[in-house]
Amino acid sequence: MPRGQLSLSVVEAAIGVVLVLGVAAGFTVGAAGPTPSTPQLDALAHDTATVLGTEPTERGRDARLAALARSNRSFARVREPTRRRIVALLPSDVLFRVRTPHGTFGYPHPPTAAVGSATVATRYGPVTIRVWYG
Amino acid sequence: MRGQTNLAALVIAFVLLTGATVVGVTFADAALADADRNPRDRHAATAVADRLVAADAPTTVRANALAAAAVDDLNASQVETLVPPAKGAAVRITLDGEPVVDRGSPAGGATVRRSVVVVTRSEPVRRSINASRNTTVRVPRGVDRAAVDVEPASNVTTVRANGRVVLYDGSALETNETVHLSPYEPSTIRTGTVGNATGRVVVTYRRPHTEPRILTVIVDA
Amino acid sequence: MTDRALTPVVGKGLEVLLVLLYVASLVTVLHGGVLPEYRTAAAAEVSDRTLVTAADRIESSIPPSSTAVDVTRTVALPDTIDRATYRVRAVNGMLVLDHPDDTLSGRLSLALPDRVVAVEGTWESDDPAVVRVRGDANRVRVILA
Repeated sequence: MPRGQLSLSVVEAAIGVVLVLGVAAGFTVGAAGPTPSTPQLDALAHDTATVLGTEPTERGRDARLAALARSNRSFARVREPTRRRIVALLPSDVLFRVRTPHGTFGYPHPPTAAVGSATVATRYGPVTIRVWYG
Repeated sequence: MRGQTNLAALVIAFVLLTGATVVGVTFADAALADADRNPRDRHAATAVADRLVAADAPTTVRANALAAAAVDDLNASQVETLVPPAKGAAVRITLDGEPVVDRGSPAGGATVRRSVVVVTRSEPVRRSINASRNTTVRVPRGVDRAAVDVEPASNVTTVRANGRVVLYDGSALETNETVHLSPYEPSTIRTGTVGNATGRVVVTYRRPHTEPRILTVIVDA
Repeated sequence: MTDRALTPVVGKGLEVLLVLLYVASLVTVLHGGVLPEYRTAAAAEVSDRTLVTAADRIESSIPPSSTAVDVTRTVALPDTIDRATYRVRAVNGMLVLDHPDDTLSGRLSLALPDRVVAVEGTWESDDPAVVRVRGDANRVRVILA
């Protein structure tokens, strides 16, 4: 009478198949993960810093970047026009946050790991621009 | 009879394992093809973008500031000369979506985006300083250079921009030179003289207008 | 009762033999046909990426135009590609990777500003690689050492 039990070889074969497919799945997961292209984000952050560092402000006496770092009053005055300028400079799918010795502005800190950044050491202190895809 | 059943199960097991191996090899093949991100395309695209926005490039007035005239004249062979890795490759360069250079169809290539401003200069603006009445000329923000033309025999010895001496000649100045100004603040140009000055000093400048743009470079080598 | 196909021991022994035969043939097929192909494909990828990474490092080590330029940067190259050492040379504004296996060699144009008048030198893959940039505002030389 055929007992209702699975032959051991079939069980072994099933385990073998699961093992091979598991290793194969490791290939697909490992290689297909897209690397966050940080060099591109770094380039955009660097570009923004360069442009802001060579543009005059509406009513001040130095470049936008230096005006952000110079003093609390100067920061408060140029913060909004600079924010609008950065929005115009960056692509629409890129968000940013700017940190100066007198405060930060921009979008809330990014949830993703891929962030590009550029730091400029002005004579009043460092200004850091961080960008990410959002 | 048990032996036979076992052998049949063994054969089934072999078939299953072979099938699994074939599937595994197919996955590995796909993974390898996927991993080919074609680094040369990426290198060419980054090189084109870098060379186009660099401070020492013929297309820019300063880093990340493209001259509108140079952009209008840009074509694929110029890009090839500037950037050897782009030789023979399909290239598309756009500014905010507007095509600047379009050769071939680089659909499967690498894309690089940069933030730039495009600078257009207005027509020359002429203002004159009446040296005898010591008037001044106020050059607005954004202008980084101006041509100063001192009329001969006007007895002007010094030209200052915001207090900084930009032209000087102990005996009278008689020259037409370009002076550098600070672009971050308005510059006041005034003359200085020893004794009585006559005549005019003409200051000529062009007002720049900057527009932020996204430069997109797609290259398929 | 003596009508059984095989005794259990012989049956199991046969199974073991068959399994070993199967595994051996599978391994042979893989090693003969599939593995060498993948090895060269992966090595070709490494070779391409090494060349591009080296070119990127050289291009990014040139500073903006300045009166005196003196930059030294180390470059990390893999010691071997497909278990063989190779060489990276600068020839005529191009970077050439010389590998004993011709399919793993390659060349790549460098994108350098006009100030750079010469790129010369060679890197051996198993020696520490350094790029030196020397010059002034109008003439800059890049040396691979």
